Order: sequence, then structure tokens, then C-alpha cells
Amino acid sequence: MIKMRNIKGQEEMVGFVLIMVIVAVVFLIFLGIFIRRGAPTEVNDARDLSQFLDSIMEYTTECAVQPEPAFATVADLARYCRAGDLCSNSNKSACEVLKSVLGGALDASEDVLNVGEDRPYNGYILNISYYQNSSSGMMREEIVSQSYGNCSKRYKGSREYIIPADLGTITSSFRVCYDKL
Amino acid sequence: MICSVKYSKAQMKIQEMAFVLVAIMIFFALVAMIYFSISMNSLKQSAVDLRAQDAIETVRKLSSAPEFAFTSSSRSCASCIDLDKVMALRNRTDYQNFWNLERLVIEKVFPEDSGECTPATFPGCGKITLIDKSTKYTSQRAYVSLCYWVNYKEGYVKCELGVISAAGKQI
Repeated sequence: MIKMRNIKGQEEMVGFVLIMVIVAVVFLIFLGIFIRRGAPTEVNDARDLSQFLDSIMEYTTECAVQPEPAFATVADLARYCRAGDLCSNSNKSACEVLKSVLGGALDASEDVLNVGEDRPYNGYILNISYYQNSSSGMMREEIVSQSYGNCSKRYKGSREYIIPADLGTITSSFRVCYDKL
Repeated sequence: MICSVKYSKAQMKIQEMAFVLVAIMIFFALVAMIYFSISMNSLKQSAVDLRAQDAIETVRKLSSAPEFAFTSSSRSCASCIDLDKVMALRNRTDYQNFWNLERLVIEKVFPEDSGECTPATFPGCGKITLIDKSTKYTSQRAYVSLCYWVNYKEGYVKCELGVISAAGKQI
């Protein structure tokens, strides 16, 4: 009789523990879903990156398509590059200078941007493209694109820097990518 | 014999109740700990984010202050700093307490240059320190274009990539 009662009490305890474990697991699953939902994967208005992009587009290069001292900024070079212009003060094309300046500026900024191995951001993409509305839809023509690292997961991006050009616009964007912050 | 059986049953009931109470307490303690750790973490993160945002806003405001802002009739640039103005401010002691900052430095990022700017080395130098009162600081940075006048032919404005970094007691 005593043995039977002992077994019954043990069974109740095991049942209770099981219920507790199930409730805890369900609670953790809900918590996980809730936390994941809260973390955005894409941000397109990071003001620090917008400021970086603005500053880079204002950078004065060594290339003067017009007679010197009308040295072109990166924003000007994007237009000249699309038009296939050459620098009047060197044998280089506007596109060559644009690529070299962007590459140099981005390399020099890796520390400040916190991009690289063992850093919060593991990559970046800077893209300058020409967009034009046509009867067949939006036409896109890439002018230059510079990237580093792996940019397939989450990212934080700048707002677009827009330059009017011909019938469309030249739009520049910059984003840094991360797996986990 | 009957007495002994009744005593064991009561003992079992008490033991059972004790286990249930302990388990409930542990469960609620765990739930409370998880909840508080998450809410504390998010609170800390919000505080850090707000502080950083505040500091970044201060730095951005600084870049558009009349003492720094680059203004030109031919070019509008919100993120440009006039390095000629900054050079003129360099040794003005009356500006040391003007912004209530512990440190204020303007650094060139690209093209890379090193060394403190002086009238002899400018513009081929790396940074201009306007305020440097403390060695312990957490500075916030904002990207800016560093623009200055170059006397070449008719003259032109040259802009380079830089950062303005500031650290203050409030930051």
C-alpha cells in the first residue's frame, strides 16, 4: 500500500516536471521568434553612411575634363565617366580616375568605417548607376561599383545621392554589411 | 502499524507539496531572470544608441556651425568644412570653452597624410587639433569634406575626405 502511494507521488512529480519543461521550451521558442522579429535586416537611412557618401562625392580629384583649374569632383566624374570623357590634364579616362579615387578613399576609410575581418562590418558596396525611365520600364546602367568582403546577409545603407544627368539621374548608394552586430 | 502508514502518507504529501513549490519558484525565477536580462540589455542598448546618436548630432551640428561651415556662391555643400577657417581658429584660446568639449579634432582620411597641421605644413598634413583638454575620452566621429582654397592658376576649391571627432563630458 505504501509502495503504491510512493510510486503515484513520483509519477505526479515527473508529470509536473515534464509540463514545466514543455512550458519552458514553448516560452523560449516564442521569445526567440519575438527577438528575431525585432532585428531589422536592412536599414537604408544610416546618417553616418549618408554623410560618408556625401563627403566622398564632394571629393576633388586630379582630373580636369574642362581646362584647369576646373578639377572634377567624384560626382562630376560619374557624369564624365558615363559620357566617356577623358581628363584634359592627363592621358587617363574619367572612369579610370573615378575607380582609382573610389578605391583609394574606401581603402583609407576601412578603419573609420569599421569594415574588415574581426570588425563589426564584414563588407561594403558602393554603387554608382544611371537610371532612366523609358517606355519599357526603368533602365539601369552601372557606371562604377566597388565592393569588399561578403555582402549577402544584413546591411546598413546610406540614402541615395542623386545627380541629374541627361534624361535620367545618376544615383549613388553605399552600404556596409554584417552577419551579426 | 496503522499509525505508521498514516504518518508516511502525510510525509509524502508534504514532500510532494514542497517539490511543487520549489519547482514553481525555480520556474518563475527563471522566467523573471530571462525577462529582466532581456529588458535590461535592450534598455542598455537603447541608452548607448541614444548617447551615440546625441553625440553624432553634436558633431554634425559642429560641422555646420558658422565657424566651420564652408560657404560658396558657386557650390552648396552641407557636409563641407572650411579648413582655412579651422586653421585660423587653431590658436584662438577664446574658443577653448565655447563648445563645452574636451576634445575636438579634424582629421584627414583621404588622401592619407600625417602630422599636426601648422601654417608651414598646411595643407599637406593629417590633423588639426582645436581642443585637447583631456586624455580620457570617448569621441564620436562624423564624415566631412575638408575644403580649402588652392592658389593654382586662377585658384580653385579643393575638397578632401575627412572626419571631425569630438569628445565631451556630456558625450
